[in-house]
Amino acid sequence: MVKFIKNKVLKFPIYFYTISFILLPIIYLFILSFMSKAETWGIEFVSTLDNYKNVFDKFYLKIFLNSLKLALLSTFFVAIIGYPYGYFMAKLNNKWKKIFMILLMIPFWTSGLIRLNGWIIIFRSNGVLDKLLMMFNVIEKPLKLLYSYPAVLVGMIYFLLPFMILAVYSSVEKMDWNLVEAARDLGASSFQTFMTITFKLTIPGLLSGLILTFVPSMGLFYIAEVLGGNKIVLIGSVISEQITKGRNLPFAAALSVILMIITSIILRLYKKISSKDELEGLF
Amino acid sequence: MKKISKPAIIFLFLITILNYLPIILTVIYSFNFSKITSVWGGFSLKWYKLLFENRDIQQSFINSLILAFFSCFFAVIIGVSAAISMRNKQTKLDKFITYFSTLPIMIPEIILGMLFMAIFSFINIPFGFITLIIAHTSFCIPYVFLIVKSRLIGMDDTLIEAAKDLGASNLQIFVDIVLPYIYPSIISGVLLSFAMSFDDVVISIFTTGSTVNLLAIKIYTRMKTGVTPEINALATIILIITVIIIIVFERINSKHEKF
Amino acid sequence: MNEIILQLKNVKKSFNDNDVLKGITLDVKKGEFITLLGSSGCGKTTTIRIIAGLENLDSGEVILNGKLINNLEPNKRDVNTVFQNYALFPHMNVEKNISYGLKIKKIPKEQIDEEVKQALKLVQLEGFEKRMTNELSGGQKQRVAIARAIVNKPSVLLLDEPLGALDLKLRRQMQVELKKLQKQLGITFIYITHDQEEAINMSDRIVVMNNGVFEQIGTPNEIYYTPKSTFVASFIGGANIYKINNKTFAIRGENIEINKGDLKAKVIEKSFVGGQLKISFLLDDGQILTSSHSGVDYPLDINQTVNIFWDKKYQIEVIDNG
Repeated sequence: MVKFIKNKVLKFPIYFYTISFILLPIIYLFILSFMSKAETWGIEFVSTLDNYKNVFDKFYLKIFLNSLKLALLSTFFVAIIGYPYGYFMAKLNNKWKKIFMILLMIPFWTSGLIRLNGWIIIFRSNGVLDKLLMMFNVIEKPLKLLYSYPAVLVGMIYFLLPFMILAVYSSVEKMDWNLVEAARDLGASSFQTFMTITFKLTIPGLLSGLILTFVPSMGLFYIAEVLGGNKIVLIGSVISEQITKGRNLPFAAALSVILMIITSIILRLYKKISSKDELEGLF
Repeated sequence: MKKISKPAIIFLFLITILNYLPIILTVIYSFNFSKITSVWGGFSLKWYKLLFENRDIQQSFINSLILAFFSCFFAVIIGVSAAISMRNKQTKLDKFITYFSTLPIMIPEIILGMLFMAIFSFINIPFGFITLIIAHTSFCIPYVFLIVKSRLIGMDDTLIEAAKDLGASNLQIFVDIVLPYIYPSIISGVLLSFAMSFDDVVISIFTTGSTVNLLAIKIYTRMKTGVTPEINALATIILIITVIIIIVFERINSKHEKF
Repeated sequence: MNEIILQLKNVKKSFNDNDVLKGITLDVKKGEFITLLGSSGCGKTTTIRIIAGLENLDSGEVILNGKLINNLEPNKRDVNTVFQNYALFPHMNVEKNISYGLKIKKIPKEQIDEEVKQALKLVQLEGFEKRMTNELSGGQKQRVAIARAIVNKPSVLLLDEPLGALDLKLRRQMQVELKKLQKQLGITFIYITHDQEEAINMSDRIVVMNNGVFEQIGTPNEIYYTPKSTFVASFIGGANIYKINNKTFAIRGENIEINKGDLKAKVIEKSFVGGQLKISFLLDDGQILTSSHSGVDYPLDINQTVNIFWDKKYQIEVIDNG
């Protein structure tokens, strides 16, 4: 291949940026997690394992587990809704495919906050949902759904759904439909075909979707804050509180390091299983 | 075999409607005369009027635009050059750097926010536009880099060879052949980055100073105390801007496919 | 006409221990149509990529117009290539594709327009100026690729299996057109193909390549009638290889006559291949010879024993190289 430009010059910006603004900060974060908090606020450079011990304190462990539970639950629902959605979307004809793609892009590109705003209108006491249900005499009193666990869950699912759909859609799109025809020709029922061919071949997309929903869901504290009030505390909120209010940077760093380790293990696993370098359907 | 059943179509429409319900309600209630969201007090544009009179919001809107602009600008320089340089062979070190450069869109946002917050206070950069731009650039780079890279993978090497064979210098090859080939993907990357930067709350909270107000943060702090009709109006405006961006994006994308 | 325009001297090239070119030498005359003929992987594409400068050589010399160009960048060589997959720039229309090389050379616009017009006329694509390349058929793309190269009036034009992707009928037609074009322009063509018919139809000289070496260089006649090795003999027109007394000979099927002479042969197979009837005979010493005839059948039965004969002047001694 003919090189048309000096590669070293081109590589410089990404190397420079990544090393100074990603790699070094990560190293610093790691070091910070072994430091201790100063009496007033700030950092004392005395090494300690206390921050990690604190993470496994009952109080924080419970929050960690709660966050994990919410993340898993959201991911589960997102998969259940997102997989068929992406799959069916890929089966549409080109014109409708395009329409649905645009319909999907609009929420995807719109600020998550702005989209959550609508759920507040729906969930709030005497809001749209309450009014509707009362109109049909399903309930008598307002449900008070806003600032509850279900509200947060709905918010999470709603926020994360497009990632799953896009991931599944792109892997179904890539699939060779002749394979499905071949399977049918060889006598498989449509259900058997789906299980043995379609589903198997779209697993990378599904996996990618699971990661794209699970990983961010661990840190999406502002959905919990906006839709859950102060009732639902997630690990993201703890980190944010430690920084903004508690001013305990070392402890926040320890929490971040653990979260980061979990994330990289998941990403590693994905690469192992799907033998792909990049997540499918990211673009 | 690629037939789609009726229930599947119903499912698609149902989920899409649910997906849009909150957005539509926001738009409807932005025209609500009543200050209380649960009551429909008749059609009114007063919240829009209030919005346009609010200098604070205007300033934060402009700040958000400036921030998104500069983040995209740096992301393009870094992301495009990286995509071109790593098109062919990637060394072990290249792969290592690639992994870390795309990390910002892989890890939970809160970690990225924490990361920048920690390092900036350590090296004592005053929090403000500079810190915000560095942080936002970090998550804009992967979008530009990955989109442009995937476009370049599809590029036929012989096009470059043909240009060279016809006498083009390296610079001419870049300007005449490579740039026209990747420019739709650069624009896609920029639009996506722009939207992500404009909407970002988490990373901004940790990297902004007291001097710089951003629109997304403004909305966030107000939403924590419940919805105000003004926010509905603002959301509607942002929604319209987003729709316009997407239409532009789609136009470019369909042109993209032609090659 | 005998002026030498391009010389290859003992050119060697290997990719990771794999010797692709094992020292090739060739003199190309000005205005010549020369074809590199060989099966895939024989090194013919590497040869022209080295001439074009798209590949560096390990050792040897490439001399163009009397100048050593071993280390000259491709964009500085007075050589143009028609690529196998056409390599038309997808974002430019036909006119822009063709004028690209001239624009690089900073030729005045009026002259470019004129040259492009001429080139389009030569390849019979008048009126296609504004078409985008993805709106063209395979044959049309091919013509644009040729026009884009010839418009630069290179000393040597390299063509890498340019007709490979076209269907048979179009191929035949393009062969005639290309040959005509070459004569008209007087440009030296170095043409690559794996199709012996194409090589014989078009070339002034053919270079038969095998496994990184030039097996034989000669006119189509020489290559066909006086092959130097068993490889050339069987690659071109599938000649019979016949051994007597430690000597190896090539005998063309059409020169074998039936019911004549005194060599006993048993008919073992009859088949209709490539417009000809082929009959295979088993000789007493175990060798097999195949004759070819016009028509679809011959009054012979399988297992029947007949006499066969060929004139000794058609029996060409060759080097046995498998």
